[in-house]
Amino acid sequence: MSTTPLWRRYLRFWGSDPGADVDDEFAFHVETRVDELVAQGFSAKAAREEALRGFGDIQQVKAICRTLAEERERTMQRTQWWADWRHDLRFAVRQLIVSPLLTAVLMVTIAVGIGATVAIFSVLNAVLLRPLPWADSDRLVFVYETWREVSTGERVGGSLP
Amino acid sequence: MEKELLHGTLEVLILKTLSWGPMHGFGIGRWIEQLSGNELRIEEGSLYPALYRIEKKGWVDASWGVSDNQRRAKYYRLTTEGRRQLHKNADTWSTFAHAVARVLGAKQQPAS
Repeated sequence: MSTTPLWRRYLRFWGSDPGADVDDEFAFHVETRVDELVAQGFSAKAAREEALRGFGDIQQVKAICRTLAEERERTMQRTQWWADWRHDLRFAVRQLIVSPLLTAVLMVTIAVGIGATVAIFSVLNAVLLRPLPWADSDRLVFVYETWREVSTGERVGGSLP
Repeated sequence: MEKELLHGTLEVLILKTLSWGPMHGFGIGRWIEQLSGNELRIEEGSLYPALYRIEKKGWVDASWGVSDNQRRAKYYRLTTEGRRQLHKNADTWSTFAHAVARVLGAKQQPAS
């Protein structure tokens, strides 16, 4: 086994493709076997048939391998995601520890922000959003009337009923 | 049961061949056949699923390399966990094989 050329590592830039990998791997196997059989005097066609015989239903075998590879890929991605997440968290904590003043400012900012939001929301929730504490409160109405001066059409006052 | 037995056997045999160094699927099958004195015929239809199963279990690692015949081939390499599994399973298998041989080679009916 010789060493892999450097450029090959960039083939994985977009992540691996389990389907293509299975195809390539099986193709390598069949081609190597065909070469061997041809060297033994088989015709190209007979060699190919002989090489494929051990695979049985090759499409089914490929499907099995592809499924296993995809499951493995998913597990690895998940593991990687959690590892990255832990890494980020540790980095963040370290950064906060080395600059305590900044940390204090950040915490005060967040505390004041949350405090103010909660205070305003509590008031709005009680005054505007929560239904009034009577039965069928959505059918409550506010009734009043206004009087108009006949000659000028001007509003002159009203009264609660 | 029989199928599982075969799966397990093939997996150990693969681990054993890889304990000598990285190899591609074609070479692994060839090695097992030769080492068994050509008594075992490794069908590709079982070999590759077995390789993918143990790769998923983390017993082997795979990477693409260039084979002796200058083709791109997928090489499998034993991981630390794979080596551990090989030792564990090899013991189990020789005990099992020995027990089966003893039963089949028995000359006398056991006393009941």
